[in-house]
Amino acid sequence: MSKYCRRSEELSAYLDDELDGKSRLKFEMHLGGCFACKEMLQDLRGLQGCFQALPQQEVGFDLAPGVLAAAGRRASATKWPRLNLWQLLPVSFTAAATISLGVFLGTSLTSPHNAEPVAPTLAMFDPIPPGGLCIGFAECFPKEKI
Amino acid sequence: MDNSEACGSWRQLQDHECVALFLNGEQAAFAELVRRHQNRVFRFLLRMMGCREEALELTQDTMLKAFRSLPGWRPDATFSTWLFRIASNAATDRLRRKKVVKYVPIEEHMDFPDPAAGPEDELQSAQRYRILEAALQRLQADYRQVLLLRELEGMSYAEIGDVLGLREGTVKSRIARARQALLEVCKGKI
Repeated sequence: MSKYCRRSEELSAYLDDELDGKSRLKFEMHLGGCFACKEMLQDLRGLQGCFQALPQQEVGFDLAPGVLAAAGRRASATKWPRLNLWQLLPVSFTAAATISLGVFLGTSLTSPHNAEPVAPTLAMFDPIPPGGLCIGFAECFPKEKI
Repeated sequence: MDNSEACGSWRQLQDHECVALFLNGEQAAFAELVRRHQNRVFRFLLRMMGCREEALELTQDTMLKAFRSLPGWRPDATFSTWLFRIASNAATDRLRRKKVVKYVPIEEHMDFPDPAAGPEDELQSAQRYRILEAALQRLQADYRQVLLLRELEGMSYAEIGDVLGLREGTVKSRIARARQALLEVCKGKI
């Protein structure tokens, strides 16, 4: 069995003057005959008295200058414009197209006109490797007419 | 007008008047609000956190958040209620992140004085208040929160509900349970 009356919630509100007129009267009638509530009310009033007399600690200095300084620092730190990535998309496409055009033009203007496309050949089967010296087959040289 | 005269004239303004001036660009009005409320907020946070340095840090954070959020303040809540909402959320967030249960020993059995009694011995009073402070630290955070707002700040159940985002019925039952828990701790029955 609980040591507290089942109406202890009402007791707490009664102490705080938070019951409406009708509820207050009903509870006061109950209080007249309930020893548990009377005892608890006395304890709660004592507790309230202790709360009221607790030391009133203070910060000890004016916080306002520091708060305003910190608020000013944060305000200047967030002055950069926020970028919207969707707004950057057309700019990105334009930049990419410009660069591609530049590369294409540069390649087409600097490469030789008569250059034939180099196709892969069967040079790998030649007896003389690319860049190598001819080993002097007779058929390689034109016959001189004396 | 010199500094002392300027401070005197600010003190005559109500909170909502200072807010209006601040929103019109008068930063000194916000400084006045800070000076008015810093000690109350600090005391509340000190008893929530149990540590002076942390309470000081959270008080400054609270004022800074208030500075940034003031354009969104609506006059249907008083400035102090709104400020305590910010402070309360800051304390709850910090305690949740810490997840530390503080065990503070209760020195001795505490008897509550009869409020109708005469002058008390100062030493006994000091011991009693230390016991109460220690007992508060042993309560779970949400009980401590409602008790501080009710007993120290004198807020009504409706105001506490505004601060904590709770219905009045919830505030009523939570305060009742918090008081029972505090009595249990203080009377050494745990």
